Amino acid sequence: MFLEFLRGFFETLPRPSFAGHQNRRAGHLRRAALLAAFLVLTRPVRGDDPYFVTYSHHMEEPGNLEVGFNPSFAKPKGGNSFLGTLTEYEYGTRAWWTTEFYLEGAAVRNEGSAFTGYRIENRIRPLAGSHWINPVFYFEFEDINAANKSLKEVVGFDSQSDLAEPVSEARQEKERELELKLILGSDFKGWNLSENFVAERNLTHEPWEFGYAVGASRPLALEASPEECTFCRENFRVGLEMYGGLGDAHHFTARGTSHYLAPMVSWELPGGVTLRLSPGFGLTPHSVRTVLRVGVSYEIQDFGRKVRKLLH
Amino acid sequence: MKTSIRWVLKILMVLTFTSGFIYGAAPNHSDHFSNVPSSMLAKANPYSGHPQAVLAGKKLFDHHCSACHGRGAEGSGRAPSLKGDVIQYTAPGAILWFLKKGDLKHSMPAWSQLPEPTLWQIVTYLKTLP
Repeated sequence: MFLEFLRGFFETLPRPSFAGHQNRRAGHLRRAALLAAFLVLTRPVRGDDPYFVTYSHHMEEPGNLEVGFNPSFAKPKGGNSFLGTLTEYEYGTRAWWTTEFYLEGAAVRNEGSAFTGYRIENRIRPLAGSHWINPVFYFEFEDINAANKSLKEVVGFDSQSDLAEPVSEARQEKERELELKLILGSDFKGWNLSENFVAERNLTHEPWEFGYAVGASRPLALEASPEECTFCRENFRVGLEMYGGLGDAHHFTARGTSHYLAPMVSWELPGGVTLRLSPGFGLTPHSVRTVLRVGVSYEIQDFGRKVRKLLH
Repeated sequence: MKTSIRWVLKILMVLTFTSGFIYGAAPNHSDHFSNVPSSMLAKANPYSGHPQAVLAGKKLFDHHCSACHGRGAEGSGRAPSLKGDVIQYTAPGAILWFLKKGDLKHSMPAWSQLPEPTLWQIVTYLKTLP
């Protein structure tokens, strides 16, 4: 029914030609409509790791696009409760190279909401094959403001007082930063163990800041069942991650920094959508007491090739 | 500050070139199974002949492999066919080894994130292909 509706809708759109400006515009409109329909109709496949902060060495499959929406809820001491949002678009450029783009926003109770910036990152896996420890290099440029509340990473002396700052003031403070990560990952008997070492620097001032994230996860079942199912154990993955700041280049220390411990569960639905949930608990007085993270993502197979086909 | 940015750029360049060399040394398609460790060659498939494992393997293949290798493993512009002699005459342990390590240079992902029993189920399915 829906397919028929779409077919009918496309038939009503004029076909592109080189006859004139109006027809060219109609062509663009048709392509945009086809792309939108493609995004709706493409069969998504399963997501992978359940982590919110920790990166594993698993790369996005080449040509696939994963779209994710990851809101975080928290209430810092002395501030209003907030919702930090992170929308991610992860594309497998090559089997050894993944590119990701993030858009971020924040909504704070009694203060309103704001767009808080974007990030572009690339992950490169330098070694072919699978090893006991698999390194991945991560390079990110971020152009965000201090109202950002996505808590995508914790570095330096980040604390809950930063999150309590009023949005109207914090959004004036620009943060153009370069972030490097060394990601180490291992897979053993169904377990994934991942360790990240983070170095971040504001490009205009301030010293390098450091942080870490470690995580472990495992599916509830190691064997797949023969039929498609919703509540099978193989569709659930549980894990634990810990992350925090390690001071900066002047004071490399864990003192005065915030640290979090977060159990998590992910559920891969047969339709291909993955749901994730993680309550995180602050471990130091500088951390927010509780952060609740929710994630919804799906992966579009062979996205790159299909888009190229559509546009040619 | 400028000096440190220059250093970061230098490091990025070195990493990029290093990864290029490593990938340059990766084997081509014809060599996929030439370096299989003997321990892997000797591994027996614990699911061999299990009809349930074939069904599970087919389901996993549809989820993870069919986008590149085709719905019936007949191959596509992106990846070769898995039907025929190569898979049939290759030791199951060698296929498992290859699935785990992938061939990143030729766009074959490393599937080490899938647990070994799951990979064996895929191998079991591949062995039933004509």
